[in-house]
Amino acid sequence: MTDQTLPPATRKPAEWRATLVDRGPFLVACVMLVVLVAVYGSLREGVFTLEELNIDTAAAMTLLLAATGQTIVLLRGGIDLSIGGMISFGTVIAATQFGDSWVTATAWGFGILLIGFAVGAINGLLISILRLQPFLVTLATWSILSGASLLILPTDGGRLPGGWMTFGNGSFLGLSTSVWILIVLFVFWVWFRKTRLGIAIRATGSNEKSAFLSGVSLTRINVITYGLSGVFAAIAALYLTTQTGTGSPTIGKDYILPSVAAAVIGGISLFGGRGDLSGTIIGAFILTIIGNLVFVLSVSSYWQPIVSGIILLIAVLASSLAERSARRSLA
Amino acid sequence: MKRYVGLLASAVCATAMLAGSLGSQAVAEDKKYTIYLSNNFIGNDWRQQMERVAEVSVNKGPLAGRVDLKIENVENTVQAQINSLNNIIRAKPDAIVIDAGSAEALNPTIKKACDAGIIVISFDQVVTEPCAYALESDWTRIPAVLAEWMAAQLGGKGKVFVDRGLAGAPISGQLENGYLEVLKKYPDIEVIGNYNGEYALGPEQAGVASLLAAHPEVDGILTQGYGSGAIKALQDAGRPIVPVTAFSYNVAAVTCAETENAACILGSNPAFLSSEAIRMAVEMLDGKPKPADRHILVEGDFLATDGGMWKSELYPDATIQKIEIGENAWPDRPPGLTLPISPDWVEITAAEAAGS
Repeated sequence: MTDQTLPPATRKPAEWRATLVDRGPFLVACVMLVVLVAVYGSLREGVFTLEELNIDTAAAMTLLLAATGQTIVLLRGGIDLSIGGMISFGTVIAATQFGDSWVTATAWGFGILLIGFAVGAINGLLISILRLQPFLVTLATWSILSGASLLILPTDGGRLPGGWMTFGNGSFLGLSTSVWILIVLFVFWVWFRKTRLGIAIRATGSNEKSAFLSGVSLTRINVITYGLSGVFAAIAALYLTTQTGTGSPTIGKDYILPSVAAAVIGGISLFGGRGDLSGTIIGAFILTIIGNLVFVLSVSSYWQPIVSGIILLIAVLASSLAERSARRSLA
Repeated sequence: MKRYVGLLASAVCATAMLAGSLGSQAVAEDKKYTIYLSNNFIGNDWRQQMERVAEVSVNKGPLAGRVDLKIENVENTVQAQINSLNNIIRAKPDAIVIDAGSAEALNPTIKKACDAGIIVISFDQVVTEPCAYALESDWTRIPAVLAEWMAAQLGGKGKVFVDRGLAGAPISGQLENGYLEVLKKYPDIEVIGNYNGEYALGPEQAGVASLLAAHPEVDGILTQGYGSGAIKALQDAGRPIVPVTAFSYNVAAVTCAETENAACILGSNPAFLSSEAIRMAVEMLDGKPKPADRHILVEGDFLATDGGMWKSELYPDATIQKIEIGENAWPDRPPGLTLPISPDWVEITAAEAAGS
């Protein structure tokens, strides 16, 4: 059904509905963030300052980076559990190999990104060639990477160069490193989503068959999608080491489900094709602000998972309504 | 006259200074401090008892009315504890006592707290950040004495299972290595299986049960948890009860005392470490001398079925009480109660520790 076939009277509501279906869940997330920030701002001084932005972005950044990779995979219609293993593995390699020289640290930094891509590419290949479920393939690679991390570093340890930590916690023009990363991430996304690859990933997630018939190589798309997810998990690991100053063989598992939650809260559909990284950014901030809010309210910290769960439910409900509405317009 | 005025002025000054110093001392001792307890995990009996005794110990005894204690539990992730600590630092408390989710990964955040002038005392799972104090049980002594006892029980020869605790937890590696360090002095003792007891009865029993299926010929079990799960697994498998090392939970003491032919030794990691950390913070805030070493070891008594009969050669000063029903094992009290219950400076009852 195209616009040309619609009678003039129904065109506008249809357009309105299409926009709502596409952007509705994201708007719901925006409203939830605004409400949370408003409540938080009324309870604590200095919430609407650059300092607060720096603190909260630093708190949300590892999750956001992990969720960025997850978002790309979700847009493709898959899921990536291996980011948990990759984050642990990345911190462990960084903490054991960086040493004190910038040259070694930089070389290993790129090495970790390459490992991230390689792990993701293997995920993509296994999913495409052997036609295995993404959930199971990435569960297996998560397990392998977790074991490898524990073999290298049985408990938290190793160390990072002082300069690396200073870089990760530094600031430039009043903005912390984490805020600059956020800006770079956003610029990357604005560019990436318009590229042929970005469009192909979304198209494949939306309708694999049509994408294949239009000449998209599913194997190539899977390798790149999961590869990118691996790279973002590696970046998350590198950023995390600037916050913890150590390698942690089990730390990555803490980001797997929250990365999916951040994306879903931001309006990314678990069925692929629908949503945008801007939503995931909102989702990651929502999850972080809830923690702050629970703290300033001086209520039991158990409220944090409860509130997160309720917000996740609202997001899922918004997505589900949007999906249903989309199906109705196609019918 | 001038001289008298001068003398009078000096006297007034001296009196004022004396009064001032007395006053400031009085203020110091009456001052109420805000102390946060940051806890990364609440899912076991020990942590719950630890929080209960922390609250009890600031409501009676020498600390009554001295501390506004705020407990912040987080969801067992390092990121959550980092974020929570950042919130705590912004609230500018006098001190933070912390049971840490990682010995290393919180260090940069803890350094931030120290730089903000907050006293930080880590306890139980301590941190390595030099600006924070580390108050913990003597984890070198405990596994060494337990393994030495096991070797004595086996006459230096036999096959054992060793519990690896919780994967990735620093304490688990320390306990396992502590066991192995002593066992390697006995070439005829062979470790034939490992399991992850995860400091809970279920995983301990399941872990030992699955190892027993493959290695029924075991002679001893070195657990990091309750020990009673291991004994139950032996009973369920119809195996003779072999010597078991464990930690001093009420259920362990009761099971060891009530099971025929059971031979056990229990090491203690008292749950009142939280109270000790809070008391230490208050003393430092009151201006009392700070400990010379940032690392403070707490040495709890051991409990053993043959307590009093066997002496450790590695640690001759280690006290080993005999496990006795009604003395240090109570069938009518909660199984997860950690013994001993109360430090010597405040009376905490079993009911208070158990929250009943």
